[in-house]
Amino acid sequence: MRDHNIHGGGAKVSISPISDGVTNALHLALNGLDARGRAITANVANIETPGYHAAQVDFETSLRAALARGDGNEAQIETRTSLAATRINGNNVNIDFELMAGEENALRQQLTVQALNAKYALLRTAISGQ
Amino acid sequence: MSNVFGTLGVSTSGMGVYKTWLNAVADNVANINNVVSTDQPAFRERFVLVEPMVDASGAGAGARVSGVEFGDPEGRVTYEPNNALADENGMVRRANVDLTDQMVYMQLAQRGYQANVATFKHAKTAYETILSIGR
Amino acid sequence: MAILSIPPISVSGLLQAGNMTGAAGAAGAGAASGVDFANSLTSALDELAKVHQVADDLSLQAATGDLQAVQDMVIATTEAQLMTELVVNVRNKAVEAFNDIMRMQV
Repeated sequence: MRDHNIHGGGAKVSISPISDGVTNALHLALNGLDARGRAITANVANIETPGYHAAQVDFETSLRAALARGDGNEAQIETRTSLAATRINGNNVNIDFELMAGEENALRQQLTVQALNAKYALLRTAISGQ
Repeated sequence: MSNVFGTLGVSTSGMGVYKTWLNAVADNVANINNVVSTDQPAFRERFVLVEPMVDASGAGAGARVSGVEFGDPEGRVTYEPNNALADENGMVRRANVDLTDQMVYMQLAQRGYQANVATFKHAKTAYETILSIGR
Repeated sequence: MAILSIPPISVSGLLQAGNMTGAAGAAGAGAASGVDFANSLTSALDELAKVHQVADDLSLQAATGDLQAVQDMVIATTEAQLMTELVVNVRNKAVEAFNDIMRMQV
């Protein structure tokens, strides 16, 4: 099990006066989704590698807890090794699951980007007054 | 390649592994009927060795070919007295490659390659989505 | 569903307020309509804050993956955007009207 911070060393995502708790949380979510996408890609690259165990990324637990604490600027990305049963070559990557997770991850990312863009559009409207 | 769009490199590494495997399978099948005289080594089946890669932070960074193993040079010695290469006992040495095994490997390698193409497309879409932030 | 908590009167109420000042200005009648407009604008801003809060809550749910229905967030953020544009436009019209009155030759 490996733990590493989304933004290394527990740094906060943004210090700009434009950002707020929501944009920061969305930024952290995008970081987490990025890490998950990479883990899925690595799992698929190793689908027949003997002895390889699939990696699974969780950032939601930490982000949810951070938001509940009222500190939406920091969250941990946790990478775990899958405990699923292995095939005869010691590999436990499930291709169906990984491809489904890849699709879901891409859609989650689009949703998050859309929420972020909606925030920025609001700010743009407020700034321009048009 | 730069590390900015690193996930593309991860899926590309997977494609490279399965392409190497497909090449090895193709080579094995191409040589499946090789016959040599008994005083020479038989065609040796190619086995591709693969290992996972990790980046500096310990996260998975794809797969790579770590080496090649070769099959038994003994091959299969068969009785073919009419063969021009037959020794005084009428024996020749054939490659010990099982076609059924090769077909299974080919399917696995092809599926693996296709899966990596799929994740490559995912990664590209994901990066395009990120690039649309603020538009 | 959170989106349903947005009062449906908000938009029509604001549009009425906008028309009312126009009508009142044309009729030359004064104070009562002015108070109406101020009240409408204040309540519109309150509602705008509520709409933004709903959109923010749903955006946070999208970030943590707890969002139950994608359409909730998409609709809430779009409505927040439109509501903001509406309020900004009504404000611009009000400022414009104020400037017209200030420039009026008495």
